Amino acid sequence: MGIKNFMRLYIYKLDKTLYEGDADVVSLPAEDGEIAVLPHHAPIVTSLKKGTISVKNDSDKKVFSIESGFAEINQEQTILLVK
Amino acid sequence: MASSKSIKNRIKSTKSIKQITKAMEAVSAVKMRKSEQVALRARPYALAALEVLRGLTAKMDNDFSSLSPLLDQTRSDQPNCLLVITSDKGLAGSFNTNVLRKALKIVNNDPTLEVIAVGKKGRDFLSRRGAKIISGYTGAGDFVELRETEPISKFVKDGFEQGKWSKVTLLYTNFLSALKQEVVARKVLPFDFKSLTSIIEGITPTRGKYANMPQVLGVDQKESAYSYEPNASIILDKLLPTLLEIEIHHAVLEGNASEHSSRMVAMRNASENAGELIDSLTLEYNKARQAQITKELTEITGGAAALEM
Repeated sequence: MGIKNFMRLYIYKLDKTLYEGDADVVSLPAEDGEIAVLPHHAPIVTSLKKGTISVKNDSDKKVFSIESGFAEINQEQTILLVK
Repeated sequence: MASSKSIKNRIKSTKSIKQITKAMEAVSAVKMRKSEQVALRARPYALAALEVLRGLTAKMDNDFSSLSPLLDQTRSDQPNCLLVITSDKGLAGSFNTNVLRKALKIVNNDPTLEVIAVGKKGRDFLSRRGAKIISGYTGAGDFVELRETEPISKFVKDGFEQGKWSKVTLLYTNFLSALKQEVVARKVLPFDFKSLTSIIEGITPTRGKYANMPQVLGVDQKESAYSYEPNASIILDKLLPTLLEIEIHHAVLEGNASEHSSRMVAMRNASENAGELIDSLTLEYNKARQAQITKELTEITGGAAALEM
């Protein structure tokens, strides 16, 4: 199966880059409720509310708490703009 | 010729001035580097936010301006607003003069213009010249964090949403390199895509260490296949103020980098001049001292000759 089973994930804060790299799963506090994003997710743009983002990559797990933000998700990459 | 004592005093005070200007040069160099880095940190975020906006605008080209008051291009009877970014402190070469000369031109051409001044120098100068200052902010010289510029962008956003102005222009100094800065005026509100792009592209300096930063997100947006959650206009409502914040924050940072770099250059010139002055004063001092010795010798030999007669 030639399909990559991970995605590129970028998490940007205005004054720094929080995460830049591959990820297996990322869960986000979207406006309408928590969503988990897996690779090859349908393209979507959503705003984020206060909560925590958790990123899983292999056995690594990282958690960031945010005030608000946006997520742009497509097949290959997920970009999160957070405050 | 001045007495050797007074020349000696002048040399001493020039030396201490040189010491001060040298220290100020070093401090400004460090501050400049720091503000440049801070300005660059915001770049990936700004580019990504612009991408999202590009996707959104592609999706909703119909009747754009009704979506958010920040996009209202139709106003014309309200006064315009000018946001001027200067420094609090002087001794920065022509930094403030350049900005204020341009500001004054705009103020003189537009009698109803309202001015928001960032920096003491701009506020004082423009209010003396009779401009209508509606708000002033100080302490911007060391701003780094977004929350420090937030009150400014909030004031601008609220004012525009309440329909106080028909147009908001930002006047600031763009940092091109340590030796080159230019004063630019850019329309920030109502938003249009073109001016936003030019501001965000301007984040990279044209020369110097950071000039060749890669475009992190230069990917072509495929024809908006995105779906928007909860819906496009809510995202737009949240995204636009964020972009405004970024723009103003960025302009302040550019202004800071420019302020520090022109202060650095001014101080370097001052130190060089002080050095030259010290050299010529030392020469004068030595001449005076030599003249004194010669005079004394002539007096002595004259006196001895008089005794022998």
